[in-house]
Amino acid sequence: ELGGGWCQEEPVPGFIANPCSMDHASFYHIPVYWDFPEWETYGAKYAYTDITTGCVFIEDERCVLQYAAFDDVDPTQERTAKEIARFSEKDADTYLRLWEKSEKYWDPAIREWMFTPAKPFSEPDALDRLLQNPDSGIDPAWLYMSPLQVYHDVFEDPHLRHAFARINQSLAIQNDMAAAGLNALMMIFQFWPRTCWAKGSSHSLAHAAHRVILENGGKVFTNHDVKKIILENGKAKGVKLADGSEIKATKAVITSVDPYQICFDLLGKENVDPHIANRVKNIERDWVALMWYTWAIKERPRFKAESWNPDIWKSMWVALGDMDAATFKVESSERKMYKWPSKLNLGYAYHGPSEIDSSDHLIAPPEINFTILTEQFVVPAWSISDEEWKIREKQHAKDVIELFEKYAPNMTWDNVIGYLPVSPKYTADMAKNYAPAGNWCIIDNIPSQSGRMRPIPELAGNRWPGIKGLYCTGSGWHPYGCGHSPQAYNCYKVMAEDFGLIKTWEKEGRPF
Amino acid sequence: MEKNWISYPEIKPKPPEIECDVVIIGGGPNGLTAGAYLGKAGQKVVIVDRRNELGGGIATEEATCIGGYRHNVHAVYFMMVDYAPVYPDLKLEQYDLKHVYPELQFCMPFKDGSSLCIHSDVERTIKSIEKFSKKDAKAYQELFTKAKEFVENIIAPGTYVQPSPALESVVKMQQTELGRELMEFSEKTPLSVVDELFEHEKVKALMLYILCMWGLDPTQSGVGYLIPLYINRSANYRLVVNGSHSLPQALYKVILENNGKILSPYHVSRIIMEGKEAKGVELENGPTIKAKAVLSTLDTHQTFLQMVGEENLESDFAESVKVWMWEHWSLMGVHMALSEAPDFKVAKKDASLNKSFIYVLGYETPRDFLDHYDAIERGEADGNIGFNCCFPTVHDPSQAPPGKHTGLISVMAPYELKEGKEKWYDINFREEQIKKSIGILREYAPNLTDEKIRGTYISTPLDVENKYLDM
Repeated sequence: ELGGGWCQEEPVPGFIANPCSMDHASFYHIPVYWDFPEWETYGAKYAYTDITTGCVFIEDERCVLQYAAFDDVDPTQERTAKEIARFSEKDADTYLRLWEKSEKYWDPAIREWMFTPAKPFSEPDALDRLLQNPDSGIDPAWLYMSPLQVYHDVFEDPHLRHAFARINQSLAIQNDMAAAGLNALMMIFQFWPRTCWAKGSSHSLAHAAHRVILENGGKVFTNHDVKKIILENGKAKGVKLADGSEIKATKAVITSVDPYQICFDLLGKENVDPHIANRVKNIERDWVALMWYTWAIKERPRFKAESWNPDIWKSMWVALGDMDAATFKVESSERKMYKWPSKLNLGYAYHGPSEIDSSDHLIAPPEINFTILTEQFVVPAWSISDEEWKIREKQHAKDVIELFEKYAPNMTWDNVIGYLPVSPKYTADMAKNYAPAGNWCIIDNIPSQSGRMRPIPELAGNRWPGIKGLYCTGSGWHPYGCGHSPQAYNCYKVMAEDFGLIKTWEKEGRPF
Repeated sequence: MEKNWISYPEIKPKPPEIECDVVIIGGGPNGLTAGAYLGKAGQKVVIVDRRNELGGGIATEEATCIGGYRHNVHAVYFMMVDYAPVYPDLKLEQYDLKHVYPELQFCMPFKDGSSLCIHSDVERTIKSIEKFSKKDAKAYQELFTKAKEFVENIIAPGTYVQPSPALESVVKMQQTELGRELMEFSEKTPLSVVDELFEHEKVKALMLYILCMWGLDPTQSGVGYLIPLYINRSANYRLVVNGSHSLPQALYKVILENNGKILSPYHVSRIIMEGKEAKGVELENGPTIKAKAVLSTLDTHQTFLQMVGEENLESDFAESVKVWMWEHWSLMGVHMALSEAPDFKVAKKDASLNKSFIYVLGYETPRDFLDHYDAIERGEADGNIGFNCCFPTVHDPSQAPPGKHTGLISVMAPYELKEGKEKWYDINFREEQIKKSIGILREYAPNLTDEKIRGTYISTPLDVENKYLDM
């Protein structure tokens, strides 16, 4: 089955869930839709709800939420600001001011940065230009701060700080990591209000893409393990499969796997520059390990916080939060010691929003209609035994329901039909790309492994130094790990340069 | 333009209108096969399915949520591979489609340590039955020989031609000696055939199970022509290598390579009618598809009452569609991710018994099976005392990580429980069913302790309906 993380499973038959890739943003595949309009017709379609993000609080049963920035909901984000003003007028003003900056400067720069191959340090890219713009609204100090520091610097109300810390954790951002703060702040504006989900499931994208590939003469072979990249005189000439057969390529070999596999399995250490091999060996990849359970339930959660805002249940993503300021630091410290988090910082999303989008019959049975998921960051797959994972998987389900009931009293086991316990262990075993930690982003999304440094500076530009005809793409590459398209688009751009292929972006005068 | 490069939904183009020769509703095995043939015949085909994963019940999923364990969540036993023209016609082996044909097809272990086997080699089956009854062995030999004759000459060829009207078929059947014999069979019930031919209770139990495992009511007459088919096919089951889903994957590629289009996930809101002619389909939130012909693979209710609309049907026809009835029972599947293969008690004496494709467990006599069947009639899940099960990885290791195994228990179960079908949604009830089924399996394969079972997944009759709307 193609698709990698664009996969689907069913916690209970007929309840379709995304076991690996759920929240997408509307900018994930912009040029792909331009270049392949048929992709959408074949099923790569998105839907969204009025409220994209929220956080409910246990102490005062309040909630913070963000309305969707789509044209038909809250394109100016004034509704969102109004909600924020219920906590702090000042924070609402800050939010609106930064939103305007984001619309005017951040978004265009980030789009261009994402959909343009990584540039060397010597060449300024769209983000560098943004930082040089005195009107960008960006305080250069944020560049060096951790997300928690930035939230404290920008927002006065603890509800907002906590809400943004938890929801941004979903993007694999480490709340206490220095220099990750600006990115985290930007995500609040350019990612969350534009979140959406693929209709049917994220796997729809894979099928639609498969159709485009076959229609254009491509062939796809699954269940074939590639063992080696064939090298001749410093050039990639094809691949050798586990069964010994060889597929020759006259022009190029593209990999979409993690840099470890390329270095140490597919090429072999002897064919890799020792400096590159050393840097690849030192890549950080233990952080993005999660318990991501999908649940078939009988009725939607009825949050206590609905008394604060009755619409909170419509939010696609909700963090189950509290006012404990230390919670993220404690969790981070525990996880860095490979200890199971002593407290849950749970994220929740629903999939199958038929109560909201009555046209979507594609996800869950018509009379029941609810598939949800819960997210908790934990320890890497390799750090505990399979036996322990088996126990953890059961215990985590109990912990989730116990906590959830405190926020939404109807979320008891009586409301549950079944669940699918995706753990780091499952993720690591599902595909080598995620192993050994079960890392959802292949490698960590940290400042030293982002953009032109992802996965390492020498490889970020999609070519492999010293080997002709070898190109690399995948979530481990520039700009950051996600179920989106820039890595592949940028890889094509680099190859178009090398092989003189069509450059639609130039032909059509597009910004990227 | 400025907005275009921020966000996709804002640049969403209006769905286009698509024109084709044939639009097919449903991308299960029938829709895909028809689409592949039509495509190869030069027709421009569009297939629409509400699920994004095509293949209908021929599905393989990592359902237990343990990485690398692939479970065939619906179809697993393929019984017409040697006859179906689709394989050679579409050259499916070129798309990596392969089957395994285990020599030992059925094994039915009993509590006294004996076991009854059906092999692909009829002589070995006869020897197995002889251990219980020489008379029954002879009866089986005769039945098997006759069944093969029926299948080769009438049933298999008849499967791949258009059905003829009932009366015409009867006339045709009566023209040959073999046809007349098959007509006689048709009037018999599975139970009466088993009672007439066999004497030993254990032999009767296996034969009755084999005849009824696909839906024949043990006491129903009129469809007895299926009896020779099931007897013949019980030595001809095959497993798809890499998982059942490899079959629709192969068909999918044939369709796309022959200029077909596949649209999913889309819900068909209606079939476009112009007078008495179907001219295409309308999709919910999708393109309109204009076609010379519409082919529906869905059940008659969905096709005619919902999509064509009663106002476009003649009243007699609409009435006959409405009286269509679904089975009152279905299958409950319990899937397991196992750290080792089952080691059956009966294999202590003969290790080859660990290599059976299908095991039938829990029944010692035909009465046991009939009691189970009666409990289904009463809507009682408690009556589940036996089932068939299989362990695909014993025959095809690719369906689990190296050295690991998958297992599937298929229990006949009522759709409507006496407490109401919603009871199937009760998570405790579901877990009880898993526990009970595995408990029965463990009586025969005691090595499958809880420690050896890494994960489970259940598919109840209600789940089947929810997942595949036309079931």
